[in-house]
Amino acid sequence: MEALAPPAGAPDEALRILAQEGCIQCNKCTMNCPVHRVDVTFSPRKTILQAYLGGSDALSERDLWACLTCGECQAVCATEVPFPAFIRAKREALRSVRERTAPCKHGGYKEILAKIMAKPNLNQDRRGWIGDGLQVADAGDVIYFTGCMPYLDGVFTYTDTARIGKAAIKVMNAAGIVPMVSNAERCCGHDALWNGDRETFETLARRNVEWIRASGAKRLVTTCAECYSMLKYEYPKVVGDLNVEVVHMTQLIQELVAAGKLAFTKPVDLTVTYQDPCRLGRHSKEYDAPRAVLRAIPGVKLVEMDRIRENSMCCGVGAYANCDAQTKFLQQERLEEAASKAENLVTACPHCRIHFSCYLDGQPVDPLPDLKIIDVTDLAAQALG
Amino acid sequence: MSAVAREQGSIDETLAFLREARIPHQAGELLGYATDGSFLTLGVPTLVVFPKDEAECAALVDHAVRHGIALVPRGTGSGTAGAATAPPGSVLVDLERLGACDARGHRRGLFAPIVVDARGTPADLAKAGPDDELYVRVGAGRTSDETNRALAGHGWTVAVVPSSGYSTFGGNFATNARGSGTPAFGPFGNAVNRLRIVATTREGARVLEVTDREEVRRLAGHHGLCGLVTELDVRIAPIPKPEDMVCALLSIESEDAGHLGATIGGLMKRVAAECRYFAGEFLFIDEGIVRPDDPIRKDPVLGGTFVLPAGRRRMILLYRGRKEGMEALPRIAAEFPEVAYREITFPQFRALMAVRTAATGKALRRVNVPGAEDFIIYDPARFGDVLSRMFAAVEGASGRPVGHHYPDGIEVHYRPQAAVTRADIEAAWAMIQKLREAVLRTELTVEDRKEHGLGLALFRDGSPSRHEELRRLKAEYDPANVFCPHLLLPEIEGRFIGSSFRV
Repeated sequence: MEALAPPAGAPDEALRILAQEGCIQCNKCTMNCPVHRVDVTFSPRKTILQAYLGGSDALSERDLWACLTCGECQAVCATEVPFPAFIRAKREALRSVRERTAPCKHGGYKEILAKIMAKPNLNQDRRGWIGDGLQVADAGDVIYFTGCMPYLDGVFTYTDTARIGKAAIKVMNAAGIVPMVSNAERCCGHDALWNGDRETFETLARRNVEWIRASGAKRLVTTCAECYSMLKYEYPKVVGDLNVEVVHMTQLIQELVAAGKLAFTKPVDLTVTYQDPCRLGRHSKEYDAPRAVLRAIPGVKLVEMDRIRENSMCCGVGAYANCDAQTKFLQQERLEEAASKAENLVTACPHCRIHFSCYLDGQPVDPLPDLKIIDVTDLAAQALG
Repeated sequence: MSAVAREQGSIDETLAFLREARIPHQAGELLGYATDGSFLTLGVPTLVVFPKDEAECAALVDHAVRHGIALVPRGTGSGTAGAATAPPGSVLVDLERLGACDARGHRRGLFAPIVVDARGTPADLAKAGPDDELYVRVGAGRTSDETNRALAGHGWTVAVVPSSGYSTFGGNFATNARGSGTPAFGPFGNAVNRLRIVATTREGARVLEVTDREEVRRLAGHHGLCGLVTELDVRIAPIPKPEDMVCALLSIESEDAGHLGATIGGLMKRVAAECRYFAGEFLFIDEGIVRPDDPIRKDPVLGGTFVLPAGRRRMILLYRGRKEGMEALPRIAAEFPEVAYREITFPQFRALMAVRTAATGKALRRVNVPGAEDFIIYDPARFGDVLSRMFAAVEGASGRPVGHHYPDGIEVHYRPQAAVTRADIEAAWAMIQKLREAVLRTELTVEDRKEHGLGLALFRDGSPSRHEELRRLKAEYDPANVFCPHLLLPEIEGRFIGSSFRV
């Protein structure tokens, strides 16, 4: 095993995080870890003990990068040991000395994209995908933070990710909202932060908050669970108050329906099951809004999977840090569970949709029944008259 | 006494064997396997092996016998007695995948267990009646949590669920664990009808099927000394319908722990004599037992339980059983005017049980140090004295006793809490030793029964008759003496791993 030492004199922030809440070595984390199910040598409990005993700098590359940071370990932990935060801090601490090999990250596309977006004086067209009939504005009370969406379809050709954005604008327009879509928007920095690149993350956060504050908007809406968790919870730690209320699209729809400002009049006759995205669910504790949206759509029958909410299983990829053969077994397991309940798997994060669609587009480990992966906002847009 | 694989040659041979047999394993940096849930350590094992099925177990045991290698089995390693700690030179055999994986070796979180009757004939749960004696046939690496998830849709549950429902069935059997369901079904071993075990001859491995109930009970609590249990038939029971079940919450508060204990001890004595119940659990409420933002604090029925007047202690007692067995409970409670009695729903009972289950391990910004896990008080009349001594011994420290009311006594678990620093952890450990001195007294009818297994204290704390029985069993099942040979050595003693923490 290659020993990885942190920079000399660097405080061990990761160990400080780990020592905030005490591990009692009960192993519940490991028994619930999806990665452990396919790679028995990966174990949060083992890693924690190793760290307590002074061995955290000797974490193997596998132990450092296999973690999905999905948070299922923390959700079941009696003392809520923040293992994902520990891993994040460790990735950060070891960044300058690690020799990471990540062959399955689509050539490092997302990482490169984030670094480009961190540059000043970027000249972007972030509206080209919107198309006719949809209304957006240069300014207004509501920002639609599109996230990586405009850039994803060039790589992930099996998903029409822009469809989610169009659906979001259609829904907002139907409720009388003409959202602002800004060419100044940058990547939210989610992957950079979770992969230990704090410098890029903080640069992106500052560049985003600059135009967000200048916009004078009161609300910022996102359809991406990762963007939501960054803007809502991580940005304030770096840049202070954003001066806008950050909401996920499902929260907005739930609110609009409850207020009578949005009505779903066209039945969508589908049986669906719902995938709680880690960043919206366990990381942000939002489990109810997406379900409320599904229940508000006429014709939609929601059948829950066995593992939901806090116990939901991850889509298999976290921050594009890990995607290997074992990922595929995780995805097979989750999709089998979904297919046993419904013909449609609905999620509220474009990345869950991409990762599951990627799997279905390739060569599934075992045959799967036909299963469509749909974003909840897309489904809501279909129900508009 | 088996030799352990101290020589590099044995290690290399074993590594070559594991690679050839394609059995997952780890070598090298194994600090993370230096302890189990006990915080005790014997050092670091030489190898960790993860067999997935009986064939791999048999191949491993065969190799171990031929090369004189010591094997230390563990389930999830959640035990609090050190039974799953492995000394240097030994091979730790992690059995949590056993019978829980698909052909590729991947664990499936969801599965459909095979249900059999007492004769081992497949049975259909959909057609089963509430009085049928049924079992699930499961791999030793399965857990009651997983199994209950599969059974819940049919309205059945594993009969005996040790409080950590994520421990493996193999581990539950090795320690003969107790838990929810024990008042009705006894310790875990009593709920096992059949098992398969990879044992040894002097020449190699042999696979045995044990169907004789008496023999199964002899093996319960074998501490991994006899072999690798690979499959078990585990008793299941129907979940009573809400209309047939009583869940009760009894609560008492006082400034005086001794008074609380004396009152509740008297009540428990009456309950044990006049009621039949599946679960009897208790816990003490303090400010830190649930987080400030825990939704249970806002529950209209249960929320008040967590509001505590300054200077007072509150003890709550939870019972669950069929109506016909619990008829006397309201009357008994009424005879104790300080005890508030109310019936609660099953979901409310489960919510409080989640608090109870987490209570031994739950601490805000603290780690809980094991070591005072299993005090059994045989005479409930002494419960007040015991609690007085306990609270006096732990004065000023955080942590809380929780426990079970079994028909044969009151089982108390206590874990002191320490900030995650070496100094605090060591202080907590020292306090445990003080607590043991104060409470483990014959006149109090208190014994360290070690319901999580005797583990490393097998020789020190086990009765001579149990030693003899285990030695006989070991001679029968493991004549090659490859399984946990260290556990029967009088000099073996675990070191507290907290003293090695670098936090």
